[in-house]
Amino acid sequence: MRARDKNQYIATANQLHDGAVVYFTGKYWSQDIEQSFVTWDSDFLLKLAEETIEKENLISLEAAKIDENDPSISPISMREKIKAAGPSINY
Amino acid sequence: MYQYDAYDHKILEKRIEEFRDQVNRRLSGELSEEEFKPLRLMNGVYLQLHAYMLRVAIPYGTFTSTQLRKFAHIARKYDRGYGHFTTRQNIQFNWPKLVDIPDILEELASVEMHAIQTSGNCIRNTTSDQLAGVAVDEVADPRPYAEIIRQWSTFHPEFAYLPRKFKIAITGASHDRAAINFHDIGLEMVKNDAGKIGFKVIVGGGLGRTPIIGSVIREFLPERHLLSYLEAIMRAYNLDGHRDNKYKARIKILVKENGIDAYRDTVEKEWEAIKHEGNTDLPEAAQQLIFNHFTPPTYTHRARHKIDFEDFFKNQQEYAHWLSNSRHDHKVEGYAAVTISLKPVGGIPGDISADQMDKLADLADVFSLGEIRSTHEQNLVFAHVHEDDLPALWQELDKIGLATPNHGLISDIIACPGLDYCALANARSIPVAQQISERFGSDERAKEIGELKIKISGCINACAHHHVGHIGILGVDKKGVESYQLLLGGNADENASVGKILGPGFSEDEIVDAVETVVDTYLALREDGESFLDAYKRLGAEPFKGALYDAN
Ligand code: SF4
Repeated sequence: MRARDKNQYIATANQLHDGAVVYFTGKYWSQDIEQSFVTWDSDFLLKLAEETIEKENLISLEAAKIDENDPSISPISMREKIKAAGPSINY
Repeated sequence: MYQYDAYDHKILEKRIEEFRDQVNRRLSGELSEEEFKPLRLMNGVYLQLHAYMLRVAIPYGTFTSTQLRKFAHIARKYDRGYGHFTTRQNIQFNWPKLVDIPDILEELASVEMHAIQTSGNCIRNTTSDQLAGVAVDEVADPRPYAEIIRQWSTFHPEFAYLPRKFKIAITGASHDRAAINFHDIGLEMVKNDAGKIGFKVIVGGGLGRTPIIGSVIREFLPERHLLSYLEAIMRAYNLDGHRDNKYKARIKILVKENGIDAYRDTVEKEWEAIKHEGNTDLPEAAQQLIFNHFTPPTYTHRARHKIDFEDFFKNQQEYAHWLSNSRHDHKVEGYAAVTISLKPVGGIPGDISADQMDKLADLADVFSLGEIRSTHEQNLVFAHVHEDDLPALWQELDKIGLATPNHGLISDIIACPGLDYCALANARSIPVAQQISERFGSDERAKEIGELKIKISGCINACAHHHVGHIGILGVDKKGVESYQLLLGGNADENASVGKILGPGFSEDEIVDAVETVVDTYLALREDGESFLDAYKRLGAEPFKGALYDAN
């Protein structure tokens, strides 16, 4: 059995036609991060998500660590935070 | 400026047709992402964090008011109302939809522009001095040669799949504003003892993971041999460059490993072979056709634009300050070139809104023969302004927020898109630039500090040239947290030097204070009239290290 990572993960990708960021709900993909499917097993998550991306016209599949102490789904790294919320600057 | 012929138009038309078909086949699933990615990159389309990015080539940084209006239109119709000028004198749009990109390319083609070879392992847009053709310290105008290189390198079948990307810069001036020592090939136009024009050729310069100052491979190359000699350099690199390791694939590594003398020998052999198998130098008549596009304009114009005298006399000091750093001497008496800073205090370096673009295009028509230049420092230039028009131009620029008087000063910061956009980034660059610019925002303070170039990259790829910043800042990832390394003493001009890392990095909260400590240390220790760079050369890193790290 694979040792459990102590982190929780969600899966993200970009829509092929416009590049917008989407999150894997376990069944389909949503622009709403709160609908993300959360798991400790990033390999399993990516495998499950991978099966859908071609059909859903998505690219750039990645797993993102989230903060398990946060009641809402909130990525840990600045990269994923920015990916979720958009540029941190007033452009 | 070069104008497309029927052949150029046809090539673009065919290329867009081809790309439209590729996009459609990708959307229908006929092409996989693996198959499509190299195709989109060949057309300047990247995927960033939240969207695609389209990078449009601005050959040697010169464009017209018509082209600028087209950028404004594209920004408004297909993007989010702004564009971003890059350190390669190009413009990027950060939010185009893939489905729209063939239409955008059609719009660009209608004004003789494209995005070909703005990405991928090919010869990229040749960059040049923003004052080309008007600089007082110029041997000759480098732009016709930049155009010759553009035509030669566009779709050159032998150099479409190089070991890595390849960048050429060319200048005709003795003061290097084009960073030629940090390009794969740098060309400086020089005159030999007989008064003939040629090129000093530098190879193997570069930034990124391994910053290297280029080496002179030839002190004087007669100008008529430009293409055959470039071809020889490219051929030697194409054959021997490391294709097996991305990080060792640039020409700089090849030159460094073999030594410049050995590389020169290889190039000479290739050159001999090229001359024997059919010289690829451009025939004189063909060269002349290109030169015809670059005849100097007739300087008879004066805008006679109305000056608001009341405003002018009220703000005279501001005008004088703007003039002191934005105006450049011009070859033709009575004229000046003007830098238009894209670094408003607290703003995003290199960004410009669609409205500003439209208004600036109108101003270019009135004040500068309808021509604009982009600089590798992410600013713009009007190259043909009558001296008498300077006050009116300043007032008009001020109305659209483009009269920031900080060119060459501490808030004229180069910053790459960093983690706010770029998928490769480790840390954000733009917010750091904004905070530094705000911290040193007052004109008095910036003036007191004097010339100081800060360059901030969000990762080791060094798109913002942090190695050659007088103060360089490199964003690194420290266990998922942004951290910033400080480098001092870099210089991109003819006295090229690579900055040295001072010590341990700083957090996002600390980095602006750290820059201020460096600046304060300089102010305390400088001698009369000594620039930051000169003071650093005299003092070395120790006093700065002491001020930054000893207190802790
Ligand atoms: S330096 Fe790095 S972060 Fe900045 S634009 Fe280049 S690749 Fe992206």
